[in-house]
Amino acid sequence: MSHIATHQPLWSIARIALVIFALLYSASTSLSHSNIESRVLDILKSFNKVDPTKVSLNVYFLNDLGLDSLDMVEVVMAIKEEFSVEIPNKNADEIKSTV
Amino acid sequence: MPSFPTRRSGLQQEVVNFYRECFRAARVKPAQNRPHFYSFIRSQFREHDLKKHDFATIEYLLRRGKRQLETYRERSIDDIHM
Repeated sequence: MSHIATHQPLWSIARIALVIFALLYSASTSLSHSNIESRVLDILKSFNKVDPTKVSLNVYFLNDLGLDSLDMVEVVMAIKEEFSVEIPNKNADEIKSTV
Repeated sequence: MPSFPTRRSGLQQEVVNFYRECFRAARVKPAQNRPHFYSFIRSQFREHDLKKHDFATIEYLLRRGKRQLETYRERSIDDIHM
């Protein structure tokens, strides 16, 4: 198992929305960036463990919402289902925040 | 200032991957029963009060969990009650 030190990016809803927007841009012209952002926000808010009043575009999953790596699996799966996109597992595992 | 996530060990990654595999398997179950399976998976993973270095127990639980998954994957099992 390699343990190469790499810089792991911190994710936010804004960044996830950008990635999804880029992935879907060619497929759908009706999808706006802010539409993606609000749908991701809604996914987070609908999680039992999450306090919906704390959810914002710049909130960090781990530090602010108290979600752990198992919760992140569920969040990413919900996002993938919502937008019908494939986020490679390697990137999915790096998604640690909503910023 | 948010803290950078620490690098995950291979074993931690195995647990995360297995968690994902369990949820993917639950997605195949009848839609109205999926939440039952999701609750079951969450409780199975979280009920153990484990330390990160408790490798033997973690590995044992992973092996046991994978056997359980193969059982629950059976199409004849379409709901679960806790």
